[in-house]
Amino acid sequence: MDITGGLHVRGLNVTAGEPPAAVAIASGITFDVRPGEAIAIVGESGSGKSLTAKAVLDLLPGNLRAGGEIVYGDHDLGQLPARERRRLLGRELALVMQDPFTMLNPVERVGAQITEPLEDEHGRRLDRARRRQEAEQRLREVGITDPAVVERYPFELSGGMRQRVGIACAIAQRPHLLIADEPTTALDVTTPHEILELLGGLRRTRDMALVLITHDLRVAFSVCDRVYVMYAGSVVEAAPAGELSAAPRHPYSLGLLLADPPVDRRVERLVGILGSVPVPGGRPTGCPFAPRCTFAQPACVSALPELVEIAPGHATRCRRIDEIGDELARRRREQAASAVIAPADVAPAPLVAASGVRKVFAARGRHGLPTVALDGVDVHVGEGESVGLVGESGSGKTTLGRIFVGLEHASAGSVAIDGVEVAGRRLTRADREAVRRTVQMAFQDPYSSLNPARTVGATIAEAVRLAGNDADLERKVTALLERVGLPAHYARRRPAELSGGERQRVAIARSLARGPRLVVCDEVVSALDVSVQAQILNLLRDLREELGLAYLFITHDLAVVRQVTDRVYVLCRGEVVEEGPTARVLDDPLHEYTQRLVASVPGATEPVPLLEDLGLT
Amino acid sequence: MPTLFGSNGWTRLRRFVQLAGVAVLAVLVAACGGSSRSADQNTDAKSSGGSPASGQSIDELTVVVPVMSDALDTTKASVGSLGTLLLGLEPLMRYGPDQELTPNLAESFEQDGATTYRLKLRGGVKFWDGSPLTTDDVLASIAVHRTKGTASFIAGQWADVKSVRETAPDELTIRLSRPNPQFVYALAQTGIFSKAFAAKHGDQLGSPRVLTMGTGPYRFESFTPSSKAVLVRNEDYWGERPRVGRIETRVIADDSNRLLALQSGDVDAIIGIPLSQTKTFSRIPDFKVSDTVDYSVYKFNFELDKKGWDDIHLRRAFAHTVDRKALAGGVLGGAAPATTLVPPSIMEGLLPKDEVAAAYEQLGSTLPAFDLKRAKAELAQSRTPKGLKTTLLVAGSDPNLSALAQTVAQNAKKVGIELDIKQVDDNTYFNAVYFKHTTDGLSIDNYGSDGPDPVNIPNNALNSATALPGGSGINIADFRDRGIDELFARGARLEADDPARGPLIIEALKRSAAELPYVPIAYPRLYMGLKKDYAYDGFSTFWWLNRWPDQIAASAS
Amino acid sequence: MTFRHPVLQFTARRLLAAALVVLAVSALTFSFIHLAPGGPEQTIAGRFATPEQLEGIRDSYGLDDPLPAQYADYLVHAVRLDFGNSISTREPVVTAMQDRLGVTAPLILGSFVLICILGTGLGTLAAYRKGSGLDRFLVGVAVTGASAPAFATAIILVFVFGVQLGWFPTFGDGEGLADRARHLVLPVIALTLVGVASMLKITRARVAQVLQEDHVTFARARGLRPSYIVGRSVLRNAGIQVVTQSGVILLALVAGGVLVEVTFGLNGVGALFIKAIEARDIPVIQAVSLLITLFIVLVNLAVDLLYFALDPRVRAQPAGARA
Repeated sequence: MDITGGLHVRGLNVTAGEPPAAVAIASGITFDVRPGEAIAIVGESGSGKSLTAKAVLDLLPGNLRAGGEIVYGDHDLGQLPARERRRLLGRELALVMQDPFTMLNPVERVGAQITEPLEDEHGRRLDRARRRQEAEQRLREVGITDPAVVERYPFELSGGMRQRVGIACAIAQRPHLLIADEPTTALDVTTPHEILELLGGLRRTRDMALVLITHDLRVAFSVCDRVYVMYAGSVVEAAPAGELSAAPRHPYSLGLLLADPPVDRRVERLVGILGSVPVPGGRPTGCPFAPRCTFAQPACVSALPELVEIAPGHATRCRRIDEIGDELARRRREQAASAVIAPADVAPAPLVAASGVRKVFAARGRHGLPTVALDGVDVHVGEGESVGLVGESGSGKTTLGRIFVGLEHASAGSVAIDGVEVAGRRLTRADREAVRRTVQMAFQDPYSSLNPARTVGATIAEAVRLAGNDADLERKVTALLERVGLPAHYARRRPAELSGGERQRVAIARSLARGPRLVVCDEVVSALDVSVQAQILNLLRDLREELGLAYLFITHDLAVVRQVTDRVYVLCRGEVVEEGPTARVLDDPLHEYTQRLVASVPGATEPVPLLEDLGLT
Repeated sequence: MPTLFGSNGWTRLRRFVQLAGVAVLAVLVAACGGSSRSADQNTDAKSSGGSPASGQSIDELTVVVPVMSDALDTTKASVGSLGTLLLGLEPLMRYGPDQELTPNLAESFEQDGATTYRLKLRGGVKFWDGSPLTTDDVLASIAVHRTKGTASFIAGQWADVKSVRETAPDELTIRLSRPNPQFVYALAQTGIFSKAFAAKHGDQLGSPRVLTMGTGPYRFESFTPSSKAVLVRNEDYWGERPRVGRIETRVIADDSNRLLALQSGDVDAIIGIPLSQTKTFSRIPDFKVSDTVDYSVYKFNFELDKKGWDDIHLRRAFAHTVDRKALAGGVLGGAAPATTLVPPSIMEGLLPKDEVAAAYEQLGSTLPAFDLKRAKAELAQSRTPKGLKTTLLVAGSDPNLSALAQTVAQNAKKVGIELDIKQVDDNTYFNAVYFKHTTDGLSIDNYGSDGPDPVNIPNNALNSATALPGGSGINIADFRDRGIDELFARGARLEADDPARGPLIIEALKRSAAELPYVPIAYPRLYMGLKKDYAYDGFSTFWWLNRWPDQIAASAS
Repeated sequence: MTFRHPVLQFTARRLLAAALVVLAVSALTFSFIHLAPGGPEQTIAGRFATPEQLEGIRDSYGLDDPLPAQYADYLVHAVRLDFGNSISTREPVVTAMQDRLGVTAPLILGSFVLICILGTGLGTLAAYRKGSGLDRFLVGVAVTGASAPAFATAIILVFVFGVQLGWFPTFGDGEGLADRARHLVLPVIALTLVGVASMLKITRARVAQVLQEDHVTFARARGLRPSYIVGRSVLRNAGIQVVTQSGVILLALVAGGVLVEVTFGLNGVGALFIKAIEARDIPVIQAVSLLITLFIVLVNLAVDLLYFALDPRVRAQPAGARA
């Protein structure tokens, strides 16, 4: 087979449902992957990027249809009989999926999964010894040197290990093109970096083309040569990575770049994109981004603009690019150069303080051991102060947050909330009330913490009533909604009618109902798309300014920590390993673990290239 | 106390299943009635052998019977289940379709005075295994019903026997402690088995893997307790060559399955069609249903010592609410309304028809007629003038009990007697009604005679000897009347066919009627169905005492 | 515990528990039977028995001995597999059960095998073609079969294949192997129709669910053989719920089998049990309930062991100590 041609996708459409009522998921997708090249398809949730990848591999779920042209090497995949097309899978084209926890067959040993498709020179199944040998070899290729892993089941491995095994499976038959669908999203803080390095390394040593599908521009820039930006089912911009980073030629690309909080410095204001991504079937005619675009003109909504090449290898789907190009470039430059603001260096009065806190969870099952979640932790938050709590999953950061709001009780140590000691004794009713008035919590997934059957107004009104304040409910609800940037009529909506960002705003409004002085924010932005994340981060900053709120910000995202906190604690396996002003800890980490955390952020080591650097001005 | 086994529920469930099944079936029959299998298909290999020319012998006969014993053992069978057992284990005397007793294994039989019977054993009779029949075998076969603590179902029939002795070679003398004209029927109900075989198998005699050893015209080939028996012709039979080569008798408990079995043509005859199904059966193509009077009676019973029911006025009040005509014609589908405990046709065995008719007319006039006004009047005179509420048990095995009770309950309620009808399993029912007399005082049953003698039911129901605590309890009312006891005793001293017994029985019935221990409802009929290719000569309510397969012939069509 | 292997350890523990369950159930049945109104004496002596007769029978069967003494006596014999003779039929209970199992075992196991093959096979097919006409047809037929009461199914089967077509006998259980088989065809079909829907539905639901799972998509993306995907990826993962369901179905078949036996006039263990209960035939009730208890316990144990065989995650658990 001639594979020199690489992969060429032309006018790929993915639709759901049968023709008259068919809904377009992705339309007119065109991209090329040359042999050995790495490209990224970047887009927020709902952009259709994952289904585009599945469509290429003929793996769409039964209710979806694909149309268009896909050429791989000298084969038009659409013209190939299904049998032949399937023969290409694994051998030529391979896929790594997002979630390492679900990608592997849970009831099959790792070795067997890797070697299942392998055949010897005569096309026969390998014998036992050969299979074992091959399995160990393939695991070494993905950086697993322990041969015992061959005998393991997936559930016995960590997420990172599973992702490596998944990659080993995907490339077992030496494919020439690997599609990696969000391969790092489900992984813990320090692992994505390793996986990206592995993919990059494999690509070079195997001369394997890579299609990286991600929502994270930084990830895309760190691995790929070229980037396709997808929005609402269309490719809106295609450009070499450096060029896109430095001089985006589509308002959406710019928006994504601006919304992404920089990890290396604190900016005055993040620039979010208004509104949210339209769902398939609810997309506007014309330019899909027009309703959220600050440059939009009436012409933009009349028809979908063409993807036009404006420079070699650089195409955009913006009809106004000639007029607004300079403005886009200016804004990008402005942000990159924006002033680094230093956090206020004050020593506020202490509001909550934990010292020597230990938390042990009882053993699960007859043979389980007790789990130590926190061990001798000292954390304090001052009045009006924003403090970050950073760590991987299992580090104990959420447990500490829950102790502050009284959802968990410390096994030992002292926890003082506004001077009230809450650890180690039964609280009086008044004490409990005092704690609740002082500290409130907002959660990662507002959808599961909001009652789907109640309107937004009812949910907030209930919280207001709990604060012991029944008078003038409606006005208070309206005020709270407006405070979080939602119009008053949202009080009549139910959670299912809201977008993710709106739901998070409601959750925040609810936590504000009692007028707390500290809000524990547990990963409040990690489930949100980057454009929405910026809006929420801005909101949190504004609220702090207006209300004098203090935050305990629990997150694994260092860029977020940089933007909203003054001080940060780094938690590792239940212990605080480092503590200090955010800028100092991130810029100059002392503890080895913090150093690893900082190093693992994609693109952290490479500063954003500016146009000047590329010599494009 | 509720039944812990839930057998109660089972009975109800099964009843439901049957009802629903029959309903489904009725639709199916209606839908496909015309297209059922034709006569040609019915006359398959099985039955076609019995052409009239070949001496009317029949190769194979499959017959559905109403009951079968748990074991092929003479102590564990009575009435209907003897219908299978007595084909293999022959009795000394055979009760024929002509209603006559003829010597069978006995060669001769004579009565000597009121209490002595002499039997001469037939010579040259051999058991199926070739061993000769001896008086020892006969003595052993009788002994099982007479030993102390026997569990024999027919022990009661041998209860008056004082001694059984071999008085000469091959001659047995049986002495009774008191005269009993019914005793001769015990001889017709007692099968004779091989003593040696019984001794060899001990307490497993008659079980499926052991079977039994007799001299009868048909030999047991296989047996499934209370379900199925296969008998084959005894080619070495001492008497007339048995007519049927192979007989399968079986019980099919499920109404709809029984109907389907008949429809499929797999079954040649059925004895004892449930009353509720007679119409459906008569619609089966190439099948004919016939009926005969059944020596049994549906009746309400009063326990005379129970509070409330010890009052004749309450009993009469209740009796006035029983619409016998409607019940007999409706629920029991064409049965005759009863005026007393014995069907008149049975009585006609002792008395001329016109005398019977006259006596019955008189009996009928003493019985409280259906009249709710008079019921109210009687109730007003009773010690419970406002009426009462009472539980009435019915057994699931006979759905007619429930149907009759429901109908009567509607009328009784109008006068103030409220019946709480409770369906229970047979065991509970028998316990409460027959064995222990623990009902509230009112019960309903269908009592069938266990012998052909007209005195059978009256004696059982009215003689103080059958009342509790000393007797079997079949005298449900615990009715005690010296004068009536004396009437029975006088009758017993007469010969079985002495017409003088008739007036004595009539007198007993009349006298007891004044006390109203029972309210007879109806005499049901016994239904039998047969393929049109066959004819059954002399079918009667006592078919089970007859050598009935030899009464069936391939009809000359 | 001396067993090191978690599965052996588990099995040993379960067998011990099972023995206790069997013992407890036998004690309960025993006391229920003896506390229930009415004894076996009437069955033995019939309607015309006198009180002395009944007394004699109670005495000879030791029915008036203190309950614990009776139970101890029963246990001593039961351990030696001696359940005595049936009070009503006189057969040794063990013989009676052997004979009846000759009807019931093929009936229940035959239906079970058919249910497993048809249920999983058609369920998988339906899941693969979910939403298609075939899927709707299969599910429709199965659901109709399951919602129709067993007796109705039985009657229709007998009417069509027994009465109209005359292919199979309409009642009884036949003699000899071939005849027995012929008699069991319709009952097995009736029982299968009752149980197959539940198997088909769970298989269809689980397989459809597993087909959506990432690991199946991943297996396809790797170009693995379809036979591997169906067998190892789909069915092995779906199998865990299916096996649980099959245990439930097998036990339900025991109950359903009783009804089918009664409806088809089969002399199986179920019919024996019902008869025994009606007749208060204590030795038979005891033995059959023991048999049923043992069966339930063993089926549950087998399901759990299959669980172990199918799911390594479960296998790892009893060993425990994983934080």
